[in-house]
Amino acid sequence: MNFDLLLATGISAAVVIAAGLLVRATASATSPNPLQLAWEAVADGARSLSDVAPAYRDRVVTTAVTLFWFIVAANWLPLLPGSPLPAPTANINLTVALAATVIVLVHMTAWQARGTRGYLRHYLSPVWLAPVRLLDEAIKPVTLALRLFGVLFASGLVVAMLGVLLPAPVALIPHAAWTLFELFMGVVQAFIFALLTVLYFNAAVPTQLARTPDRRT
Amino acid sequence: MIDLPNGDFLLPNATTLVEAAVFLIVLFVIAKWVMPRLQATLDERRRRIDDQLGAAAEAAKAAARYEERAEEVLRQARREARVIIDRAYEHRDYLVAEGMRKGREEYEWFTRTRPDEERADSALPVAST
Repeated sequence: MNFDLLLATGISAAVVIAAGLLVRATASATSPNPLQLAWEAVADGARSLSDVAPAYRDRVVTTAVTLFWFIVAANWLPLLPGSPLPAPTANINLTVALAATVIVLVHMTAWQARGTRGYLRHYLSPVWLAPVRLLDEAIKPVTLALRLFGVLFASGLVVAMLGVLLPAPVALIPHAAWTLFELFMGVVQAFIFALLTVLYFNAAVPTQLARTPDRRT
Repeated sequence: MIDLPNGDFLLPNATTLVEAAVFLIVLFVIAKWVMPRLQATLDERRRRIDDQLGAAAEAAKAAARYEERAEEVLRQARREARVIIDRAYEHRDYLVAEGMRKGREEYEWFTRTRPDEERADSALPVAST
């Protein structure tokens, strides 16, 4: 167990939950605050991108919004002044956990929406394409996890190298510039992860239901 | 700072399961308490915007109706003004004609030869004779 990572993940989770509950407590239809507007912008963006049956749209939007803010919080955690914690997304364990959760949710939703026969038919027909489809499905979580991990890990390496290669006063300027870039990159990576999640849902879940869904979220 | 690479930095371990559990807790909290409220707020704002757009469309229709009514009132007023002006012209022409007629009558009255004057004229002795 990596306790630093768990602590950093826990703090990120607490920050997202606190921000979400703050949005809930102060939500207003007439005079929204900036935090609410940011959450609404992400939710609206995810909703406009999602192309699944309406019964499952809320699940897709919720997953994308949660992923976005959770990854932003995790990416920005080491940028806080004096923070001794690493970005939890720079560790493969968190990115694999997120990617695995997303893929499980995608397939669970696809199975609910299509039924067992429809789900199997979706992935196994035509038969001659089935190996490619299965390979594609197997690669998705790997690329999802490695992309986020690779970017954040490389970013951390750059910071570490700046500290090692340059004397402290000289390293300050590139370090500050890189920190600003990391702020931007943290949001971009979160956006990409959430966007890919929505696209995976779109590919797996039909836009029209042939039958009543088993469960709704 | 990150953990610098060792041999197994690309291999997930048991921490992954705890991380997944933490994310699922966050997902549950957001899905259960945050998103419904956020969605309700968005829906309410959308409904308000739709209502206001509807009210604006109604107001635009009412404005068009009032404008049309104002045009109609103006046209009516112009018609009535035309009638009043025409009547005024007629009245003026009548007054002018009447004045001329009366003037002519007075002129004729003053200039006509009266019978007693004619008699007086004939009774006068001719001074030269």
